[in-house]
Amino acid sequence: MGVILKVENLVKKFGNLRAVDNVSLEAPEKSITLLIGPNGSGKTTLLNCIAGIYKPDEGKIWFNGRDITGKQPYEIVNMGILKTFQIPAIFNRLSVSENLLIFYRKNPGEKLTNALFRKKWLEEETLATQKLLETLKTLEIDSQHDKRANELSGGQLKLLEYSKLLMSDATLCLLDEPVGSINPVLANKIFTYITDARNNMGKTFIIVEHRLDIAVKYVDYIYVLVNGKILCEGSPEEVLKRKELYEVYLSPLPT
Amino acid sequence: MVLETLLPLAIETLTFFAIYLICSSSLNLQQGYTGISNLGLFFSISSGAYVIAALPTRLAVWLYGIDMDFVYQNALVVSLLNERFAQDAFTPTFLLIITFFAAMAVGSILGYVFTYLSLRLTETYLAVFFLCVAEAIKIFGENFIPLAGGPNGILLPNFFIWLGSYSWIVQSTFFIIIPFIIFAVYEKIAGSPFGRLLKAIRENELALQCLGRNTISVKLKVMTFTSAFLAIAGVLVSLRMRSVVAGTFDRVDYSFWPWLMVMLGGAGNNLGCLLGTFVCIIIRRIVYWLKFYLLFLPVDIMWLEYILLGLAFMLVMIYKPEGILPEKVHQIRPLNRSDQKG
Repeated sequence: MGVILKVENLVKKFGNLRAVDNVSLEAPEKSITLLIGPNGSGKTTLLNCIAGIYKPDEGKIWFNGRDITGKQPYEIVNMGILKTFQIPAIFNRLSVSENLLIFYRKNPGEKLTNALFRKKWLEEETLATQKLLETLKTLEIDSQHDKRANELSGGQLKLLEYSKLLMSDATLCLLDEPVGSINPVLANKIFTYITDARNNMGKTFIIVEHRLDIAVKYVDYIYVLVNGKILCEGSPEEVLKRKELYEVYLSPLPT
Repeated sequence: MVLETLLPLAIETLTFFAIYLICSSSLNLQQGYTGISNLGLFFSISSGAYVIAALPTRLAVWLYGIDMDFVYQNALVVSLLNERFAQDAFTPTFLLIITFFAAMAVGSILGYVFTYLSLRLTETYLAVFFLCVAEAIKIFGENFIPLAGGPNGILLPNFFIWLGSYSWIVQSTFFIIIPFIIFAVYEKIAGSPFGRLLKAIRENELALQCLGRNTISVKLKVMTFTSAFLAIAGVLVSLRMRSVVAGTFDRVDYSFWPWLMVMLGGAGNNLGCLLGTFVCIIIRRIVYWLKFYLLFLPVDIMWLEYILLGLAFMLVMIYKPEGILPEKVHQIRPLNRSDQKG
């Protein structure tokens, strides 16, 4: 199995704070990697650096053997990396279905020259709409399709954010707390979809999630980040046995 | 008798409305859809006016071999040209077509350049930037005499004079049809995936970049082609007035009024924009006709239109910030049950 994403000695500074401090990690193809750590430990910053939202100060990021360090977010997405946000980054005054159609990336009607000619984009738009219907049904929000996104509840917004994943063709997905504020049944369902997407479509996932009770069952590998540095790494069984994890992240073990 | 007075009045108002429709619907695409707060709309409009001031008449003087200076002997040249144009259909039509293309080119170049320079700015700062740019261009136009006659402006020949007695009606039809074609183009764009993309830029630019769209290039495109259409509005205004005075392309007439039209009608809705434009034009016309009956007011009636403009802005902001026809939630067609069969 090849390595799809490789991060080498990455550093991101905000003033004097080294939010990500010399982090190196690898994500093998078709794997689900979990990033955990206390709040403010640099997990999201790391994902943002990979997605191009922040420019790293030092270090390199390789995706499929290509150097993507410091590229623009849209370029990185078009190479096949998708990031979802912890706080849903959606389009408030557009309807749910319009949001989903925006999540669909390759509509030719989004070119100005094609926009005037319905014939040129109708076919792809129909495909996108079919995908949208399936996605809405999968996430059980099909009754909300014509509501504006800002009329949804917090959990539904989270689902809308997650639907970016289902609408896209990305090979590497960076998920920032995908199941925070989602009920346990649906949360397990989402992780089942993630596993399915990995198995059937060959996608790779890097996930930041605090709800270990749900997430741990599904992941292959865990990195623990503390103060921007990697504290420990390994398979779930290994990492959960480590004493230092309980000291910095989970509640201290009873003595 | 009534018809004879009212018809020209109606057509005159309609041309006024149609030309303003270009301004307001362009602004609607920039501000209502894409969220580019362009307070300096008039730089694009005046660029069209400068093109028609500087280009076709000079060309005509050169083509006919008239040995006179077009700017400093303006009135004389214009009357000579009118005589020539009366017997020659080809030259004025040809010049007019060239003017339209040149105006669109200049408008779009200016739109591109100024948008490129302001890419990092958003909202208020962007609005102020565009206002400053437009004011600077206006000051340049007012003081650089070879461009449009400087502070005095220049007269234009009548490009439709060869049509004889039909001249006025053909010209008016022309002034009405072109804006509606432009409006139809905007409406088509708004209903396409590109229109949806524009609204998404307005809502959350960073999120859209993280979905693989180059928002900067889209914004540049929007400003470039709306500026080209706005330049056409400038050409039409000048043709209608048959003169170009740089000072008349000011922020009140060609930025604040279109802004009110868009806000009153409903930003992000072309039909609303049409309605807003219509209401504003009618109000302006009524004020224009009636203001001399209002001499008893404690203010100089010269400023009545401005006072109403400010008042209307405040009322819209307080009572109807979303406009008369608010932006619709776009329905995805195949999701409606009746369409699902097909």
